[in-house]
Amino acid sequence: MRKIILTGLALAFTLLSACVTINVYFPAAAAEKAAEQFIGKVIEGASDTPPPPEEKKPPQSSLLDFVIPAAHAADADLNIQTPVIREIQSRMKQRFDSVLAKHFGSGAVGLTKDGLLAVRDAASVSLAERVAVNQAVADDNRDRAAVYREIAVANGHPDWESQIRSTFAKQWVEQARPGWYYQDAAGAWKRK
Amino acid sequence: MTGKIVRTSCALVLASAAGFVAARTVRVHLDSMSLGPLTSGTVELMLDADSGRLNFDVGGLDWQKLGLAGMHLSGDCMLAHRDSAWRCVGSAHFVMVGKAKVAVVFSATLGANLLALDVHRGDTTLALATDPAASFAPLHLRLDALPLRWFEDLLATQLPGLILNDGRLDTKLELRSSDKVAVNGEYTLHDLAFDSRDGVLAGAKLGAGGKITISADSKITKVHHEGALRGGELLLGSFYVALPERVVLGVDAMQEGVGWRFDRLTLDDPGVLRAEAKLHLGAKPAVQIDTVDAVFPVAYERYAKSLLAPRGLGELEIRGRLRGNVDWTANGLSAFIVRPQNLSVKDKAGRFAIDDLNGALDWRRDVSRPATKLSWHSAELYRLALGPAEFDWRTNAGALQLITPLSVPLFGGAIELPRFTWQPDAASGSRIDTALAVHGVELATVTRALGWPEFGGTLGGAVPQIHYGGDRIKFDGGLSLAVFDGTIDVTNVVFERPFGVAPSLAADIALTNLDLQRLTSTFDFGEITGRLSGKVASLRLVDWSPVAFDAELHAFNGGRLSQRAVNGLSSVGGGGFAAGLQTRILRIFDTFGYSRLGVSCRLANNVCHMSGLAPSGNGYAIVEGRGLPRISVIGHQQHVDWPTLVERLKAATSGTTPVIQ
Repeated sequence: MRKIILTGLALAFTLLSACVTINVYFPAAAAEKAAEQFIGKVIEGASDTPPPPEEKKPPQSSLLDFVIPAAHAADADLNIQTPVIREIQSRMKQRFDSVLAKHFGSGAVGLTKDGLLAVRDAASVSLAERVAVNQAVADDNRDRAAVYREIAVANGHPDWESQIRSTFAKQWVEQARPGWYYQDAAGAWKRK
Repeated sequence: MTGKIVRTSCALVLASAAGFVAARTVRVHLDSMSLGPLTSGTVELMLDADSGRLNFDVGGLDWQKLGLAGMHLSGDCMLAHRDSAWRCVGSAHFVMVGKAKVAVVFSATLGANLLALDVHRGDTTLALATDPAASFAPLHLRLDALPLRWFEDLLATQLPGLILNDGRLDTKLELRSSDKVAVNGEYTLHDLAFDSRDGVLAGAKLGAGGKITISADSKITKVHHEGALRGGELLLGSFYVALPERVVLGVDAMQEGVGWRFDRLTLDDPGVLRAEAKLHLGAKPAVQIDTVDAVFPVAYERYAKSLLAPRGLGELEIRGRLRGNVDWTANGLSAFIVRPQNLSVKDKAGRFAIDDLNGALDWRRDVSRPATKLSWHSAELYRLALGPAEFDWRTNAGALQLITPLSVPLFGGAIELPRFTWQPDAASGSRIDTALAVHGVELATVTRALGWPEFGGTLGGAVPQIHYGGDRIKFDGGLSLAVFDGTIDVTNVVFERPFGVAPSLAADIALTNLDLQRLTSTFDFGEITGRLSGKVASLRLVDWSPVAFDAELHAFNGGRLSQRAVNGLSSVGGGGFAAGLQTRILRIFDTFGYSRLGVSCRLANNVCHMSGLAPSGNGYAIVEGRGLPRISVIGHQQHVDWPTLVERLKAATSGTTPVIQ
């Protein structure tokens, strides 16, 4: 008798537990990633004055408004933070700290209007350093081209690449330290 | 010097006589004087006959050809007559317009067949000598330790873009000047340092020496040089070289009108680089490098590295030898022959490598050339290891073509090039035309080489055409993998920045009917049976890790899940088993049936947007159970952190519990 009751209970339990639900809680992505400034991280610590805080509308919206319908403009995210971009960013920071910073200050290197670097005044650099500066500028330009391209692709619009370049160029100039040289829209060199 | 004319007017001429002169002082005044290329204004000479002291003063001294004018010379010396020649030894002051006074010590000698002047200032010596009697006598010039900076102004007018910083010249020359100028002699240059105003050209500690011959008339200038460069650093744009102690340099050059023509330019860095070239500079520039013989690695380290490094090829290990010739005209490249000899190139960044390249490539624009062979012992492209290959080439009407289709061993199978045409002088983007085919590649070998968990299968495919341009290569066609008893098709492959920063690979992948049991046992995820299909569309790998894709995987024909697989699935969620009674009951059963399995993930910006078969409650169903016990797996969280998900999946397949930080 006992055996029957136990078997019956066991069967009841088995039937009760016949429906098993497993809940898998996947790891949540941070809701609002703090907008890490790509440029700020590369040139931070270059001088005492911190970069100006973003009080007004970020430049990317205003520039892209002209070429992309306003509805999409806000979607263009310039702060794509994938491991590769972070790696490039830290390489650019290292290159900036070790080679480029002082040549920005002296005016030998300047920011071009399409977001790249150019050796503006080769004669002001001693012969031994000139080779290193040429190399650093070439390496940095390759890194920049890769970043702009990947950000355009990551936004799903590879055709936005030139807009993204000029937006970045504007941001670089905005975050440039006083005394740095940059190209205006016509290509003429100006000093900040 | 020929053409020596001394013009006087209103002068007292000094009687050249040895012996007692009645007057105590003799004065000579010349209104002007011309001595070869030198002309002057007033010349005042005053001789004290008793002491033999001669004072002189020359104003308005000009050397037109060198652009020097308005110089002033004054001084005194002791005049004596010895060995049938007059000699005056003393000191003088020399002033050039706008410059400080220069003090020199000199000795002048005038004899029947000799006019000589020796000037000293510190370590520097200038010595001139000529035969005044002979009508076409040459001028012998000797300079020792002459600082080139003394000629800064002169050089500034001749070569305005150049700034001279340092340099010393020793030379022994013979100058002849009639209707044409001829210079012949030897020289040594020490520590030359210069800069161009735009910073493009620069030199430091440069040395040179040799024999030089220059002849020039109003129309043509000819230069012949045999000598060597002796150390120093040279910068030409991005080309930089630290010269060794001796690089032989031979030049035969001619200037006619505007441009310079180098009929012979020989450079010989013994054992490293030898080059013979002809050069045209001017209206229609052309370069013809008749011979280049480079021995590596030194030729790369010393000469090529500075040019290649800004292009990202600065870290190469090269061994062997390269010979050849190249022709460039104003229209661009017009011919080349390249002959590698046991050449091995290895990229330290691991992007590519070629071992033991031998043979030749012969190309000339617009015409046909005889066939050549090129072979390598092995080659590597990232981690793709290619076996030995032999290419037969021929240039047909200006296009270099592969004569026979090429087959190269690759991972137990082969990669074939049915055709390959290279047109070096075409516009960028249309120079190379090629097709590829791959067959019989063994996935076991590939996965082992890539360090993945090993699985079997074969890989094949065909790419009928490649398109390239702007650092992107697009492959038509695709690859097909016969693996896990199903197929994986890879199409629309685009390779971006193949050898650059963060190379990027894009593709569309379709999975058809893969045997889940084989798949899960390879990746050690427990056991799931059934047939998996789906896609990974718009996959983008940057630096070989995924940054974007649109994936959907499903198994709609049912199967079974092992307990370990269920554990694995839940560990991905951080271990969220329902506790208590359900856990204990679950432990009784080894496997659980399912009717449908499905999951989707769209990856963008490090966030995976997940969904499953259908919404369920406040989540989505991933597994729908079948039979008893009926299991169902519900996923929660639509915006999933991709890096953490990957970590947990890795841990699940290796059987360890993840440490959640």
